[in-house]
Amino acid sequence: MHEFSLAKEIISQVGRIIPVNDLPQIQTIKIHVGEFSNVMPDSLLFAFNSLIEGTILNNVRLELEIVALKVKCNICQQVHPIQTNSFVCPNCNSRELQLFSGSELFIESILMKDN
Amino acid sequence: MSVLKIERKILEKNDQIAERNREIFLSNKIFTMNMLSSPGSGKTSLIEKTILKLGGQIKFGVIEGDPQTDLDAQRLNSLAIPVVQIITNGGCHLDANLVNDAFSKGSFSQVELLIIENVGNLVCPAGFDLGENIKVVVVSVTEGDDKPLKYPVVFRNSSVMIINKIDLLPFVNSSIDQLSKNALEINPSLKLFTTSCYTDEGLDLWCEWIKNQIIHR
Ligand SMILES: Nc1nc2c(ncn2[C@@H]2O[C@H](COP(=O)(O)OP(=O)(O)OP(=O)(O)O)[C@@H](O)[C@H]2O)c(=O)[nH]1
Ligand SMILES: [Mg+2]
Ligand SMILES: [Zn+2]
Repeated sequence: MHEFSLAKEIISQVGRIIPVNDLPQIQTIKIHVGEFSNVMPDSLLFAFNSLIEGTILNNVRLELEIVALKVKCNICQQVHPIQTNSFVCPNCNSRELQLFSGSELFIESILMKDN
Repeated sequence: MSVLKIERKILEKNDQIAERNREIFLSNKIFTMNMLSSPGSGKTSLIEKTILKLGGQIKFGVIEGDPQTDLDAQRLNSLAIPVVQIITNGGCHLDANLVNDAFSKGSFSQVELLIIENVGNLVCPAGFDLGENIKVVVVSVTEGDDKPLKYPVVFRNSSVMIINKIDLLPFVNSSIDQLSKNALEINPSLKLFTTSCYTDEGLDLWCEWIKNQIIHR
């Protein structure tokens, strides 16, 4: 259920970034959601769409880009995608891995209609 | 159509307040532990036991997080330590701002170990930095040994895993070996403890470890 808190954060951040008069020009908010961020894309979309209903952001589209879980191996230095339940380097079997991507949760860009 | 590059974290505000919390904890020389588990794994019981065993040696403070009631804070009231209860009104996780508020309400400045008991939930709290030094995840043997595989993020982000209720092992078909193996699969640097708040088994090792963290903080 923390998707509702996240949707609120997105809306209030957009409110801080975009001047009030330009809010109706927003067409799409693009966000990146890591596969290893514990966020359910459908819940986040549902929360966002419920919260903007009847507001100035009414028809804004939230576009999610899912970022795959990848790790960087401390031993062989390679970057590989892995399954979320097995942190083993597919190349050298090492377990000394750093998260390379997959925990992202950020607003990438905002698309504005020209007036 | 024009594109505005933003590249800002959705939880930017939370992370900023968490950073402020970290500075407050550091300047007061407070070691902070964020305790996470499913509902009822034994977080409050472990906190009670730990304080009973170490209360004479370490100055404790506790911030309790629950969706409703101050029952957990009431349980700790007899221990003569500062306790602040956060009621999230159904909210599924603590955030840095709630902790910041709670901290300013309690008399925590003399505290050496601040334990923050998060809302019972293995999903939502994992992504919210509170400014803590470490996350401690508690799993009880009655929950089954597959939990680390189902909730990998919290196990990956924690430094310690406590396997609790080991007195119940004879009655359930989960094994400590399998549970540990699954957790280490996700996070090989997890420090593991096995405990029972009924028989007190394993609590001494846990308390010994905590004492070391406080000495070297
Ligand atoms: N048999 C057994 N029962 C335990 C143990 N630890 C806790 N319990 C019991 O498990 C129940 C839940 O314990 P709590 O300490 O309230 O768990 P919690 O994680 O704080 O629960 P929430 O805050 O509601 O999420 C209580 O009835 C405890 O007495 C243990 O080691 N063995
Ligand atoms: Mg509790
Ligand atoms: Zn490798």
